[in-house]
Amino acid sequence: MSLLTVDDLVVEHRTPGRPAVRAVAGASLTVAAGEVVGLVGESGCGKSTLARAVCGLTAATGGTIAFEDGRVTPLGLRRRDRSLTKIQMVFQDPYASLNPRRRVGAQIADGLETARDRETTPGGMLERVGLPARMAGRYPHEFSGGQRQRIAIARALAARPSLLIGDEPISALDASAQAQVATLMRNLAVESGAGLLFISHDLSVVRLIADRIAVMYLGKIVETGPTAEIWADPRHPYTQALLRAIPRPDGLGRLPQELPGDVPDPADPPSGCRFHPRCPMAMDVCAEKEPAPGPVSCWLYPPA
Amino acid sequence: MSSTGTPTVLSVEGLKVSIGEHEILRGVDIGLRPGRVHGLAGESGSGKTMTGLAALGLLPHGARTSGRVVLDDGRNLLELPQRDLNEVRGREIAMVFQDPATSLHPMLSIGRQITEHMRHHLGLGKAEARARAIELLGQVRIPGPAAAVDRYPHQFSGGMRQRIAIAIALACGPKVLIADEPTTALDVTVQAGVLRLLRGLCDDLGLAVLLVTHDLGVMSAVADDVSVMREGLVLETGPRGQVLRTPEHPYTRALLDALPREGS
Repeated sequence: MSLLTVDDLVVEHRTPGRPAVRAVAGASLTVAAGEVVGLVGESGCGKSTLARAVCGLTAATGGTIAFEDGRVTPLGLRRRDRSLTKIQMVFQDPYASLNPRRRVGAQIADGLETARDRETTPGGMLERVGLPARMAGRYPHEFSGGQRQRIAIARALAARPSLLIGDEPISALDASAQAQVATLMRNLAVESGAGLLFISHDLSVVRLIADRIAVMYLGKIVETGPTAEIWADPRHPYTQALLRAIPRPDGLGRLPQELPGDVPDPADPPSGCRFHPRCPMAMDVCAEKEPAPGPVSCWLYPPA
Repeated sequence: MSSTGTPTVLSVEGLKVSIGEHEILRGVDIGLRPGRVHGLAGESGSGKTMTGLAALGLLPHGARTSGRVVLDDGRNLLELPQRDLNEVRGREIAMVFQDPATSLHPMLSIGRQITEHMRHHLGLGKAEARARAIELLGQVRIPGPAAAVDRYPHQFSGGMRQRIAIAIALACGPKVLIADEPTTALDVTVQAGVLRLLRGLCDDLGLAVLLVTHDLGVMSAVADDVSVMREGLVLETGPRGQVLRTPEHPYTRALLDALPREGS
């Protein structure tokens, strides 16, 4: 039984006078308890929109999001349903996601209150993320970016989530803090038995912490599989291109392969397979018919 | 110093920088040569960014320095009066920062941002500067440069913005380009394009590039020479292949060992 099952999710952004933009165009994904799933793709592929929909921050246009025994309903004017506070999110920018005018301890206490937890102290939560308990009385500006993101993680974990979502939680951090914070998120989520959906454009970090990888391109998941398998034997041409673009520290001075072209406008996606205009292996069928969803959504690997 | 015979265009010699009680740099030596990319690696707080800033004479207020940052004409940037320093910056030495979303001015057209210092440094007229701006945008491979010149930063993707920041840096034909984590904010596919561009510009224009990055993969792809820094000191300097394949210093080995291995 999966903790989270996203089935054929569609999310459209509508602006009056413009065509609707399908940021997520029929994506399916599962996360099991205790599992770390890395969702990767280039900027603009819809991965953050998917995360926001899973959290209820954005309404789905179509498809379903099942979480534990119920369905995720979009956040409205009322207080979030208690069953949904089991989904917690760590946002990209800890400079914006923490309230600059409240002590960090008070912000972590909000999470504890959500879980009706009267035993744990905010200081105790800070220690779990590797910060001294006495810092609970400080304000966000007194911390570095990496420390602030640790505080945001402590606040999310205080609510005792069974699903933790990280929406590019490391991309605003200093390069050397990135791997540390990502590993911390993984360890804390797995320790508490929660699932982690980790969204990032940085494949090398995702490789470090994820059990399974889902690759997203222009609103669709094009390939999923265990991390080691995808890394060793990527099958979808897009996954192959992503991995080829990562420069290797082999000292040989080889420039990484460029993927020509830009991500197309999601308001006007290409016909057939969405990757075909940039795909080095495109065939006639690719421009006409969309490949079926599956572990690899590509005409090179027709379903048996 | 490194093995190649060409003279340096900019050399950092015994540079020490301290702010208050803290010694940020404790004696750094680096020589930049035309047509070569010199990579500067290290964790955050190792002093690599400070070294890059010092090479432009851009040190924080109240920093105490010793040592020299010398141009090929013998001028020491650390002793240069502000007026002369302003002439050097942008014209002889240019810089590209990590995040093009914050390094570009959101309310000025990119044409205005490229031409501003060309008109100041090179004394070009409006039409001349504009023509050169369009040429530069083509050189950094912005599609449709003649139309792009009138657009604003928000109308471009992150990779395109970084290319624009590079065009601005190149506008006055500098000899030295300092790039501080220029691709860290970009997608890998876009990063590949920007790295290819930087390498090409270095080769074609004979630029001396100082590339500051924490990413040893990026380093391996474009740098000719590599220096590894820790705690304000350069621990090891040498040709790329030597430093990354047969590192001498235990810290360099530790950095390389910390990376996930191929196939394991």
